[in-house]
Amino acid sequence: MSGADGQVRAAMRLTLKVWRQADRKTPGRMVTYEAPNVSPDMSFLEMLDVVNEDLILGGDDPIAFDHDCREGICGSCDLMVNGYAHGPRRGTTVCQLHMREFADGDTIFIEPWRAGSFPVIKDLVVDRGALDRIVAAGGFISVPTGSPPDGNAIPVPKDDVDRAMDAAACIGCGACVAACPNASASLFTGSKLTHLASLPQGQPERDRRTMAMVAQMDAEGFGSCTNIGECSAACPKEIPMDVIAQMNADVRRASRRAR
Amino acid sequence: MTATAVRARGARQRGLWATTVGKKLLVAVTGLGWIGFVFVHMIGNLKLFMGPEGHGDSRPALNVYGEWLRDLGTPALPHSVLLWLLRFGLLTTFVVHVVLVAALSWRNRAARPQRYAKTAHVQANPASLMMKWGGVTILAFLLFHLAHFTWGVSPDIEFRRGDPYGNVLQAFYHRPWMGAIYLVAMIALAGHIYHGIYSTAQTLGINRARREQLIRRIATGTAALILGGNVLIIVGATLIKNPGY
Repeated sequence: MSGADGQVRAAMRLTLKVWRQADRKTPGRMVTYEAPNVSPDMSFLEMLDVVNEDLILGGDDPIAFDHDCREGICGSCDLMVNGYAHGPRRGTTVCQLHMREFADGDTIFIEPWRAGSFPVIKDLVVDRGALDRIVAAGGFISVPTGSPPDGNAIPVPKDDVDRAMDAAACIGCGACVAACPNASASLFTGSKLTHLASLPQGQPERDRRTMAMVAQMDAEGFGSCTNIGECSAACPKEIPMDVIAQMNADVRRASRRAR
Repeated sequence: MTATAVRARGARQRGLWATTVGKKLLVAVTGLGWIGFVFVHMIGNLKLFMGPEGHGDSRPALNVYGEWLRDLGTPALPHSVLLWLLRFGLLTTFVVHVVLVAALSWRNRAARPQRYAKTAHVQANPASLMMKWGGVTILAFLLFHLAHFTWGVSPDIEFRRGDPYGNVLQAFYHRPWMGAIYLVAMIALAGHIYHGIYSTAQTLGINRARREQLIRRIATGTAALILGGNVLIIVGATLIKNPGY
């Protein structure tokens, strides 16, 4: 087998333990599959594609998993690989994880995100609508439509822009929830809040937005944050823990100003 | 309107204390108060090393300090009243801390009904992962410690009210197993304080990426200081022979 650099690499034999679940109602279980011919140059999802081709040829139901852009920017893919959200490589979505991270003979556990707020739809596909509802509760700015404003009409300090853009890097994949021992969505909600709270355009609705999104986060049944930091470590966009501190500070700010 | 939207609206109207963030804020502030208590308690008990005639009179410095605590606020207040008020405050903050943590932990458990077949940790440390069980250890130890030296109901020492110096030396002298119990509890306490301080910086919203290292250092320093002081007391009490017993 020949890689992109022209070097010939031996194919790997892997054992996969995959969560199979027919639908929301049916209880699932871990099923073992052999993947005898895996190229180190494949992405993790390509490896699953190959396994699925064999399953389909054998008349079996292929493993369902979420994916879209396969270039690490859409936030669709969401696999728990050996207990790591998006796999063991940091700052990487699972679609950008390559099989060279594994060794011949490895056993790989592949599970869906586990959270009461993320019900399994089928196999490895979960319903992440709870995150959409947090954003819908206030993660936007209300602007009248019309011609676009002049790009430099509102000066924004560089540090504020950097912080907003770092927070805005969140692709909403839900790895933070999956990796958190408490299944908390604090890093996600904190990112969305910090993004808008760092910019002048986000100020008019800041307090209402903060309380609405935090209330929605709680109402969805996510756990509370105990600042362990697994979320930030699992985040493919490496969003820092301080967005959670920002959320906490803004909740206090909002409730103080409401009085 | 969906069920979660209705629930969210209710939480919004009830404000800060209805949110998990508000509850954590109370956990943080009460915890901070207890770190202050633990520090003062350590300073007080280090007077063990001033010996049986610490202040130049015939009484041990530790006992003089204990009597001073009961005298706090006098003559404006009757004897012991301010001490009891402080105790009441400590008890209240402790109960608030434990009850809220229990409620939040319950919620966190419920948030992941189906566990992973395989788990791994990247950023977690023993202190952060053991926060809850460390807390339970501290609670159990606190009851043991109060029974030992405040209520005097422990069968293993001849408890003398008003003589903490004698009581402590009786309990520890040449009994390393007693020291070991206290040592385990102090390690649990140090871990709890370390992660508690970092967590407090997050919950109060003062952590920023650029301050992360500084806050971690303050957390390590405080935990190490309290651990070091308390271990010194345990070791000292195990080695010092009290001439009175």
